Amino acid sequence: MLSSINETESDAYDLKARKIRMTGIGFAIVDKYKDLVYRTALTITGNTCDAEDVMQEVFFKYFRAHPQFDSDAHERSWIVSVTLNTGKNLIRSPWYRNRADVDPEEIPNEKTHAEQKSPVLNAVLSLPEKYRVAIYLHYYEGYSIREIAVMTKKTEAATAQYLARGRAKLRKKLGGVES
Amino acid sequence: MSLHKEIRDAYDQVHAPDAVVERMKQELYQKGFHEDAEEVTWQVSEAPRLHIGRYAAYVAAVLTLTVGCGMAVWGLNKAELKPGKNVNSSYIVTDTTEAATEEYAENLS
Repeated sequence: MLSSINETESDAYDLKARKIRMTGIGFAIVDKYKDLVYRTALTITGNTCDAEDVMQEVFFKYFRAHPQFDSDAHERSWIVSVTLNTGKNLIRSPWYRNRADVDPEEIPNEKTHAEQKSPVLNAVLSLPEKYRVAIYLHYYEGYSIREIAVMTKKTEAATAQYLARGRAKLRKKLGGVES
Repeated sequence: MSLHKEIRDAYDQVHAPDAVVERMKQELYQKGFHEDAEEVTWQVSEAPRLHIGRYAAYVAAVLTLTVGCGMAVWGLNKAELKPGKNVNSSYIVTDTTEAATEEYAENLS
């Protein structure tokens, strides 16, 4: 069946099909990193609809690029970096900045997600982008300040500052959570 | 509870929606990423590329041949064909016995 699909495609579009053996990779990569990509995308975009779009774009980029990695950590870092860049490109695009804001309560799916969000998550997502990204990568993904600086293309000092300010703002929002 | 733990617990509740993931997999499949059930093998179809360099080389070769042949034909037509320098002079026949014409005779007188 697969071969017939390929033959049809190559006949119809004159595609040059090449067979790539990617043992252990494939939709397994989607299952492995879907939550990581979704959480990162949600952190940078701040809403679930855009996070889903970013997640889809990231996996398409992965399959188009066929990157080779030295280790799992390298692969994970690539995925996070691409997600951050894709999310940034989306929220800085003219289309995104000029679109009309819709009340999340009016979107059924978004309302469900909003209800499910914990107060801490809502507080993190209400922070400015640079702060919430630093907080998510440091506190949840466990990246060091140096690693975050490399991924976000900022200096280590700036990253440490974002982390400190984000932490202070978060504590203020949550009303005195112990450090 | 520490801030670290609060954030971890909050993000642990966030998961990619299954419906979205399944839809994405279907789109990936339709875009040319096929999974073989027996061995994890992927058929990746490449979009046809426009080989501009190859076409340019082909056009340049055809143009060069056409112009070259044209110039050769034109040059042959325009060429003034002369005997070579090494042609033996003994083959040139000059009749010196012919009588002088009237005009030549008048001039002589």
